[in-house]
Amino acid sequence: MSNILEIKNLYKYFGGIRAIDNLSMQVRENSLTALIGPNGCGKSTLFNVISGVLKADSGSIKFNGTELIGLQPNEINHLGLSRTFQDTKLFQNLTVVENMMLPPKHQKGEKLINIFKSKEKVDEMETELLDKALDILDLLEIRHMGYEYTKNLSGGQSKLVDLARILMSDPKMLLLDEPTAGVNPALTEKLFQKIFEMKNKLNLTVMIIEHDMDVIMRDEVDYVFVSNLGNIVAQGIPKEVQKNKDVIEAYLGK
Amino acid sequence: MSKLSINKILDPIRIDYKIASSISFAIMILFTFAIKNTLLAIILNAIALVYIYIQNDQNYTEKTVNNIKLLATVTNFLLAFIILKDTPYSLFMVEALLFIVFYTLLALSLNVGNGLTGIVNFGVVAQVTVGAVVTGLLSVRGMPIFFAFIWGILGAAIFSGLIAMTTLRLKDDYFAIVSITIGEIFRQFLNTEPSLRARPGSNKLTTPGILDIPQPLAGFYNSTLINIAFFDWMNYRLFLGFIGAFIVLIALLIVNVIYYSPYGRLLKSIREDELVTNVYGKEVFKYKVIIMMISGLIAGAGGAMLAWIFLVITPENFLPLTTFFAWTAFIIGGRGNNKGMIVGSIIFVLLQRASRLLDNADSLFMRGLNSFVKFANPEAPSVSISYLQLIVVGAVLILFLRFSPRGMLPEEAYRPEIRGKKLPRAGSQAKSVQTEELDNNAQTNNKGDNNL
Ligand SMILES: Nc1ncnc2c1ncn2[C@@H]1O[C@H](COP(=O)(O)OP(=O)(O)O)[C@@H](O)[C@H]1O
Ligand SMILES: [Mg+2]
Repeated sequence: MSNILEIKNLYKYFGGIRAIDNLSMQVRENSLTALIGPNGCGKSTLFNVISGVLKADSGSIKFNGTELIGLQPNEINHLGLSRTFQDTKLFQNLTVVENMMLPPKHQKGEKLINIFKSKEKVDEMETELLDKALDILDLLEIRHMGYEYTKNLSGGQSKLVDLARILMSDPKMLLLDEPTAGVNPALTEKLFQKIFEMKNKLNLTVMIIEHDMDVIMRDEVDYVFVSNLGNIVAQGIPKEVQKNKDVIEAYLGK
Repeated sequence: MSKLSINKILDPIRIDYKIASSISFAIMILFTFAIKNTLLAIILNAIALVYIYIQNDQNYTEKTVNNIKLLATVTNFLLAFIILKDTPYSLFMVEALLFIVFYTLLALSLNVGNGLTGIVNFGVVAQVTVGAVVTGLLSVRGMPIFFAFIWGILGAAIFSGLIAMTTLRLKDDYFAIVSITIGEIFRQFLNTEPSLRARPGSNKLTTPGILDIPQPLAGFYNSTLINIAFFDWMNYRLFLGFIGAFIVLIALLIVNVIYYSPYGRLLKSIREDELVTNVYGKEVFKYKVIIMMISGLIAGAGGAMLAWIFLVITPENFLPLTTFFAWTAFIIGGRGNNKGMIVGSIIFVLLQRASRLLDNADSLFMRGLNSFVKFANPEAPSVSISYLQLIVVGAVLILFLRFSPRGMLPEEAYRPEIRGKKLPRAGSQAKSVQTEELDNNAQTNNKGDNNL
């Protein structure tokens, strides 16, 4: 198995705050990788830099061999790298189905001329997309919410819809920023199961941010990075990481 | 005064929405032709209209309800034409129609820019100016009116596109400020630039302005053919109103196609969250520039309409106030609803013009107001109607923003109806057992939703 994501000597400072400080890491293709670390250690910032939302100060990020630094967020998305946000950013005044029908690439209806000239083709594609959206909703068992405004959903439902939406863009790799934050324990378990299911079914590489170590220490997780103060302080399979002295320090203090 | 209590009071007399509206329609038409007292007829018709608006029937989609509301409002306005036909106010109605057309175009332009895409454009009047000046100049210099009009709207579109490309990367509020400024710069330019002054047959005007602008289809109208075919009270200004209404219809059709298409969905996503739309692979900036151009196209048509209404345009026609009036019509109508733009403009223009009817120094109202002002401050100048207009419009705007921020016809959700794929309507979902038990904080905040 090869590395799908390779980060080398990455830096991102906010004034005096060293959010990412000479960070290097590799993510294997088709793995489920977890990134854990205390609050404020730069995990979300790392996702922001990878996805092009923030510009890195220096360093290199290669996705499938393509350098991501300098690309716009939309270009990075088109390479097959999709992400979610920690504060589930659904389009509040759109329905669940509408939310999901945005991400697919190369839609016919994205060209102004097509919606006037080739209405048939646009409709055809819409039907396909709707079918696909409904299938994904079925898979996540939330089809009945399809035409609901997302502003009316609960926290847990929103997280599921967020997952459904990101799957619509046919990604190769998912970056999930705390997909279970603010969700009650019973749903957390279910959400994780759904993520594993999706990953296997669609052959995805998944990287998950978690700040709760216990949640991530399970067999389905292939590899764990532990981050602290903008750097990777430990890595390995969950069992190894758990025993690592630095990790205990980062989480429990000295 | 919460809306809830109004709804409670209404509950006993609430019947099926379609039946209620049909009855109201019948009553409106009956009143129009049966009641000889014009004031009474107008008031009763208005009550029937309000009755349609305060109905709150959950059994119909927002779309059905909005369509009925639109139909009722437009019918009511047209019936007022018939009621006022033989009174001195018929002139008032014709002028109102012309400005309703004008503000509908501006509000539609805002609806594309802001209602759909979320761009805070306070430069509507700049787009209007370009449309008016180009149409006016070219037709005064002898170009056929139709082509002058096309160049006018294209000019406004290109101008808007250029402005967007250079300034739209600014954050919302900064763009808003810049857009006001651009309108003012353009107006000052109009004041000083001699090549933007003209009248037929002469380019050497000493004062700023474009004079004697030819009106569309005036020759056709004068050929009397149409005079025979139409009512006896047809005049050219009313005819111009119909031409304007036709332009509105075309604009509405185009904007509607955009609205209810994947393209519109993309634009709405930009409105909801620009960053997320970008992260999901869409080139946000490109779409915003295109949308500014389309909004320029429509506002430019409004500009041409203004040139035809006034026949003479001077820089004073393009004060920033027009922008804020357009925003008022847009907010009253319902941000994000194209049909609402017609309703919003009707309400706004009637309010604005009706307050002008009070402009009679001898009227009880004005005398009362003046003596009050003099009592408060003996030095104060007499109250002028232009202030009163602004007060009325401002007060209505505040009331809407406070009590009905979604406007008269709230935005409708896009729910693609595709063969064999039936999904339950929003709000009517039966939750499956597993999600219900896992919902820690299910909200039902769409219950208190209200239309008035
Ligand atoms: N846009 C920003 N501007 C300034 N500081 C930021 C910004 N984003 C994050 N930070 C800071 O960077 C540090 C890392 O934040 P973040 O990546 O969100 O942490 P977490 O690991 O909890 O996701 C924090 O100290 C935070 O305050
Ligand atoms: Mg974070």
